Amino acid sequence: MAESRDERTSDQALISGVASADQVAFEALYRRYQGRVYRYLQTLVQDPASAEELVLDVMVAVWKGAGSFRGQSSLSTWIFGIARNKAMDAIRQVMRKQKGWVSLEEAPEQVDSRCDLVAEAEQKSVAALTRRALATLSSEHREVIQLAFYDELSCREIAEIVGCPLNTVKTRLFYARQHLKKILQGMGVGRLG
Amino acid sequence: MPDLRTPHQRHAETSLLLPWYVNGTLEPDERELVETHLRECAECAAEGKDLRQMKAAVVRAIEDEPVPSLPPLPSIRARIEEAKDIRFSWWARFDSGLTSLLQRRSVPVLIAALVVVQFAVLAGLAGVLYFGPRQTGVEPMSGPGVLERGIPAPRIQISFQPTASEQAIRGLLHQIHGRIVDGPSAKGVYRVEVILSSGDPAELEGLLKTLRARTDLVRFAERVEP
Repeated sequence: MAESRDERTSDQALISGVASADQVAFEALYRRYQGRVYRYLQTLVQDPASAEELVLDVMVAVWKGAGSFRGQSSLSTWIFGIARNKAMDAIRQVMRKQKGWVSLEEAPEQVDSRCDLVAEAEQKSVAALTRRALATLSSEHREVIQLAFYDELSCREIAEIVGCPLNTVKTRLFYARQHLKKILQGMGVGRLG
Repeated sequence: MPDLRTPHQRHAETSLLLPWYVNGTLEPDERELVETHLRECAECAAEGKDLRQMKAAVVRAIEDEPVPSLPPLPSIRARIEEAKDIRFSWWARFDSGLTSLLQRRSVPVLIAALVVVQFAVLAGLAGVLYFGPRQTGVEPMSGPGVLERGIPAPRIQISFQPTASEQAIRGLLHQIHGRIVDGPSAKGVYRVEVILSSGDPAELEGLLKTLRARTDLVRFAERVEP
């Protein structure tokens, strides 16, 4: 299958285009990153509707800040860093609101509705069990597991995104994977094949 | 240079580095350390195998979760147009003008001139504020003032469709005699105070029904219990 222009263009070329206000480059970059950014945000905020909105905020920030991207880190590291900041702001905002406002958990279920039948069917697969296990981890543990295993980022890149020393990232992932393994074993998933 | 680490240190270090060995992002020296250790440590070799399986399961778990329809490009474009106007019009001109000015030798004179101009502008603004006409009719993003009327005003929480324009939202708020008193939350939920013509609870229910029927603008609308 022939590669599209989007797939051929390097991250560096795309971000240079965005910095020059090239909307075609921006659209290509959006298509390339929207899924990954959404999934990362969903990992952090654990709310699909918020994650969707934050994707928009992140992409607008990418547009505005493209000129300041110097290429000292990879583009994905830079974008994930922006996404993390946006997610942390949103989490802080929710925590502030919850102190003196109706809990957002009480908002109608249309915001996060899931079909019970689908959930029931999913429970039978290892993927669904892993997803459930991931959901029980702390946000910090889930984050490093996703960045290392799903986004395949290096330890240095993850350290840049989460703003921690390299050794902290290494030990955090060590405990995260121990924890995940233990939960999966508790669910009866011996081997993850 | 000889490796001075003890076998225990190599074991501990390998254990920490294994996830990045599995995802293929280790530096060459780290990769060599891990590969050498894996040849001699059955425990780490088994752990490496487990991690490959864990990685595959995590990837499947994340990819199986469908990504919802994300914000459409037009809505991002609208925000970009806003940003673009700022970035490429007055700010860009101001920025480049200032940069070129500061590169000249007459910087001290320019700074003095800027201070004088700034003072003149501030004095002018103060004059306008003091002697100028009083501004009236500023329209907040709300309907008529509710609390000023002294009528009990129930509150609802409402979330608008991402595609709803500001003008349409203003129109809707005006129609229900409501005003935004808080929000948006991280989920985009606003609190709106509404005024009713009577104290009849059925009137509020009717109003909520009207709002819910506007699916082009409203994602949901619920009463906030007092």
